[in-house]
Amino acid sequence: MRISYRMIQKARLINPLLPYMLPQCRNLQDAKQELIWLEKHFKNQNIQLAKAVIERFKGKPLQYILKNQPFGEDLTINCRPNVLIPRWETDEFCHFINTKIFQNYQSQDINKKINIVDLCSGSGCISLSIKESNTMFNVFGVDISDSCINLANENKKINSLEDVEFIKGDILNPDLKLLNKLIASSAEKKIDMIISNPPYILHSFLPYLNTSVKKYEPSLALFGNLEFYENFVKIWSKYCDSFFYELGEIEQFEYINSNLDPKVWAVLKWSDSNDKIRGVYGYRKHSQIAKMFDTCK
Amino acid sequence: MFQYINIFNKRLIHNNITLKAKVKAHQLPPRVRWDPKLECEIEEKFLYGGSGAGGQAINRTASKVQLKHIPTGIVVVNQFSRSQKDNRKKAREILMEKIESLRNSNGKGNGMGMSDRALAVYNLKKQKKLNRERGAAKKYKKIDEERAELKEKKLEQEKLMIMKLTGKLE
Repeated sequence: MRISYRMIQKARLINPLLPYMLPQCRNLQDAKQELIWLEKHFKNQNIQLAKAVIERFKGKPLQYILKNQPFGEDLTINCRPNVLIPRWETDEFCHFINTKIFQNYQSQDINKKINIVDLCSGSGCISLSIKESNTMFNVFGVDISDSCINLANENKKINSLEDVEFIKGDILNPDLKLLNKLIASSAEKKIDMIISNPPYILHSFLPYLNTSVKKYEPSLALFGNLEFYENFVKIWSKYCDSFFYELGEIEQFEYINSNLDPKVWAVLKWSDSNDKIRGVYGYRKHSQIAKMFDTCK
Repeated sequence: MFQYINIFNKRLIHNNITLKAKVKAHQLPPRVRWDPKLECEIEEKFLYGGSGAGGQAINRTASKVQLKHIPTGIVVVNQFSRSQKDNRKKAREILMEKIESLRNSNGKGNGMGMSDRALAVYNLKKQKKLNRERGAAKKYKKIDEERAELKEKKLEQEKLMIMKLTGKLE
């Protein structure tokens, strides 16, 4: 939809830079808020501020201009081109996992060190936020891209967290070396939980995407249909006790729900606070870790 | 003598008023804090702005946190920070302030429809404004008097000039 001339005029009266924020923000309130954040970042640097505003006008994501994004309890995640920016929904489901599921770890007397694998770790936000609130756990992150691994290690250093290992590896065709490395730390030779935010936007959705996403963010981290869910059912589900996958379409939930054995697996939906389905999670009914899920229902 | 006493009385009254309304910044009542017991009474929502695709498809920079206090029906929306955690904390503070002000209205508590701290801050601001106005009035009174004197002097001089020119008394 076009932005009305009246709105542009109104914005210009408030601040001459404000009209340039409108195409990306779409309304006056959000535009004002973003300009405040930019002004805070570029204090007393008027030329840089003007440059940043024009970059934003062209569609560059705000997180790439400010170079970071707050995440989880107290993390700052650095953002760079070629790596997906952490999303609000991811933050919300991390909060859900930390407060509703892992909260039961101590009360349920699970006498083992839990190891968690974050597939498609990207900037490392999920693994780091889980490590931040559960320092006892073993956390691994796996990603195929070099720039993701570098950035994730950098983020680990910035937030002064340790014992999080980021490994480069192909998730769709995992080799034995990678699998052995992930399993090695546990006694039962199993991964306790797989958490993943795989690419899930359909290719047919491309024309409707926002320019800032389309132009600036890596397509490797965005587009996919059922690949990762098929891959989970065929390969990763053999090695894990529970899982949490973010998703975009309901078909992806149905694929997992129908292809896992209902006698062994319990599969549940997770929807965000706007009642939109955003995730699928499940656990083996007879595993030790199932205790954590029983209480959170 | 009589005049002097009058001024003295005025001063006394004046002093009494200031003593009553005196609030110091470091003596304010404590800030209203979020009570964790209320956590089960609220409904939390994250408004991503409209329906439709979210998630990876849209990179939202700002998200609103909406809190609803079910027993009273107070709704608070907050969006000031880029961090979800900060937004949630801030929204809780605002909600607590509103609940506290409801507790203090309709003849309950301090009866002013504000929390104790908010009331104290309000009084402090009011007092500062009053002091400023009083100071300004004093200052301008002095200046006005000086101006009036000057004007009188000028008038007299003009009269003298006219007298000299015409050689007559008016």
